[in-house]
Amino acid sequence: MHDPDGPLVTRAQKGDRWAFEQLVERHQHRLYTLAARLLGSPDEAGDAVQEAFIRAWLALPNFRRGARFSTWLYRICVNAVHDQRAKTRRADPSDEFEVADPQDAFARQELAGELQQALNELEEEYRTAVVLYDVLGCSYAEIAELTGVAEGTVKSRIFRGRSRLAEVLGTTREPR
Amino acid sequence: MVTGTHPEDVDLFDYVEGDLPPARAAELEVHLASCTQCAEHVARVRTGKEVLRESQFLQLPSGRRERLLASLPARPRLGRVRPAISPKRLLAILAPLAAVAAVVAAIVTNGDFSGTGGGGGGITGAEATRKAAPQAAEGGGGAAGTTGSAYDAATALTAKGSPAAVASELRRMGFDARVVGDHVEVRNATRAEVGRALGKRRRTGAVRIVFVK
Repeated sequence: MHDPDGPLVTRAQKGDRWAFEQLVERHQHRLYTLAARLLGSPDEAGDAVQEAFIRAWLALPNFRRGARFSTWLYRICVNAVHDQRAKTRRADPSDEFEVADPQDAFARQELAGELQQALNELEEEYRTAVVLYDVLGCSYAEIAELTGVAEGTVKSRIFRGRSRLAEVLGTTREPR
Repeated sequence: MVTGTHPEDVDLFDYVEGDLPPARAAELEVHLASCTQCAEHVARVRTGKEVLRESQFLQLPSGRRERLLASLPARPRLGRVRPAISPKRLLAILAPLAAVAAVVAAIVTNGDFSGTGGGGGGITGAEATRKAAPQAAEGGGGAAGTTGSAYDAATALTAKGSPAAVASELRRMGFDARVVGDHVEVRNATRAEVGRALGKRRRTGAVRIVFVK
């Protein structure tokens, strides 16, 4: 399987930090979009992405070339999102205060918008499927691999997720 | 084809994506023309698809990227790339060679080059033999004792939860982990790598994590 990240991954596996930084550069916005759309919060998404890249860096020597690097990275990110969600549930909200990054304005605006409100209403498995497929452009095969379900299930989740999303958007739009 | 049953989600999905063979797509269109429920469902799916695809990528703030890069821990030792021969094993191999070298040196010393400075080499070779011999014995014993999946208990980590849950979590993080009896074995990774990945709060518990090569 051709992986466009292959040469950088090989170098990063041998401990080349510069090569890993290039991989961060390549994937940071996609990973952040994934985490932010799944979590609905820019700060939590930033934490999840940071955690995902650290885990990827540490686990990189164990990465096997059966999968694309990006698929592997998304799986780590989806897991980091799960952990972040559990952590947020446990934490006292008054414990943490984060100063907003001014460059985050667009993300904050988007995550406060109608689409995100509707996404937040979806069951997690549907949200994960539509974000990976329609927002990030992953293939069914990749989604099946990184979520551990059959391709038919992936299609069904995307189908139902999109339908439910339109339903929620419809009900929120009607009263206006 | 209008039947009493509705098409499967997967069929309707392939139809929306344009992935159905034309004959099957035509059959579905006949059904959709007469089934309001399915037609509305398909219309919602198309709307959902459009809305999602119009959304833009969000940018990781640069301050966050800087923090991320600064927080990448050192990865001192590679899990997979190890020397083909361990230092102990190397000594076990080198000790007999050193003995041979000492004998050669002794012959040389006592032979043509006697008294010309070659004697230094002879002494060095003999010293090497004396030094290497006990270590070689220890190395040989060590090698016999650590074959298979034996581990050094002093380097084990512990984690909370069941062995299966711990192994599963480690695999999700990309480690080669499996349950063996009442503990979890991790291959090709160091204690430090796993410890950092687990985080402080999970380093104490009933499940032992051991490291094997």
